[in-house]
Amino acid sequence: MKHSRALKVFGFLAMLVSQLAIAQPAVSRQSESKAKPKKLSASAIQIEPIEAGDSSIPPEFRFAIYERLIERVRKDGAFQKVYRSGDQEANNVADLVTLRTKVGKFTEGSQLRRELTTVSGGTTVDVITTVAARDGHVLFESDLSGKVRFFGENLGVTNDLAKRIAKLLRERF
Amino acid sequence: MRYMLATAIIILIIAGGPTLPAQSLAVGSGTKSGSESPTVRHVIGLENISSQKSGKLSVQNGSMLFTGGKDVAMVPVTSIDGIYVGSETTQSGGKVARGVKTAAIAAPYGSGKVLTLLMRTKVDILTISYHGTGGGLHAAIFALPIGQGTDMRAQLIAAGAREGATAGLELKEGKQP
Repeated sequence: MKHSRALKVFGFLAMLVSQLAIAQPAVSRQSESKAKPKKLSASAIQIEPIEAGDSSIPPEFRFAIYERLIERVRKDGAFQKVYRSGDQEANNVADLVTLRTKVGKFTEGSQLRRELTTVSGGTTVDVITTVAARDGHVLFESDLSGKVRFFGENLGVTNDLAKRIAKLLRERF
Repeated sequence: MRYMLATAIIILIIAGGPTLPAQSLAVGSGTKSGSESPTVRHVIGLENISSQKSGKLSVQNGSMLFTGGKDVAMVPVTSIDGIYVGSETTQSGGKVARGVKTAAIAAPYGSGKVLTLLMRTKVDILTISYHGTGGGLHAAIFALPIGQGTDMRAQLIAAGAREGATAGLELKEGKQP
């Protein structure tokens, strides 16, 4: 009686171990595919100006994001050429991709409140970034946000956001 | 004893802090006459001019001119198609003030935060959007002493620059300014 009970427990454990062994590669494969999306290739990118969407983001923030993005993407070297919006030269590039950024939400904080309290007064910009091929086909879309939490002026949020978008492009191309 | 000495030094730094904005405002106040070019801080946008570089902004011979020491950047006024003036509260005193503020973090009971109250200043943010020779959209952003942003905008419009749409309307629809 005792013997058969021990056998049952052993059988149950063996089944459990085998199930885990089967499940393990599937899980790791899944996480691998999540961590490393397929790399895209393009020799040039055109960066479009930031769209305000329904937010009330001031023009200086939109243009600062645009300029910082161009600066960052050029510095990263993920693309041979980085074109500004409206650049005529970009018309001749066959594998050109276009980066569009639309602001979803903008919260303007206060540098004074940030530095006095350290917990409030942060500035945040949430954006939807889309990269499309020349034919308009969307290659990928991503939600990103830039923040300035402690020190620095509100415009510092544009630097943080540009850094995040440039990182995304570096990972995908 | 050592603690008291450190505290005394920090208090001296805090006491000396208010003189920094006074110095930086003195530089800016000289430009309030309107005839002189205002001293501005280049935030971003001009090619070959580093971010946070200070210099003079003027309108001369149909061009907007930024002169910061040896560095000069010129934008033809006719290529400007958007001028926006905003404002921001920021820290005065430049890099020196930033150093002083960092040192004041060590002050006891968070008293260093007093500097934050003393060293704040409001500036105008002037944003210029223009098209380069190849048709590419450029933008240049400057921080000016308060009140100088609208003066500069008036000077640029008088010289032939286009003001562009009311801030936000064009880009809201996803069009180029």
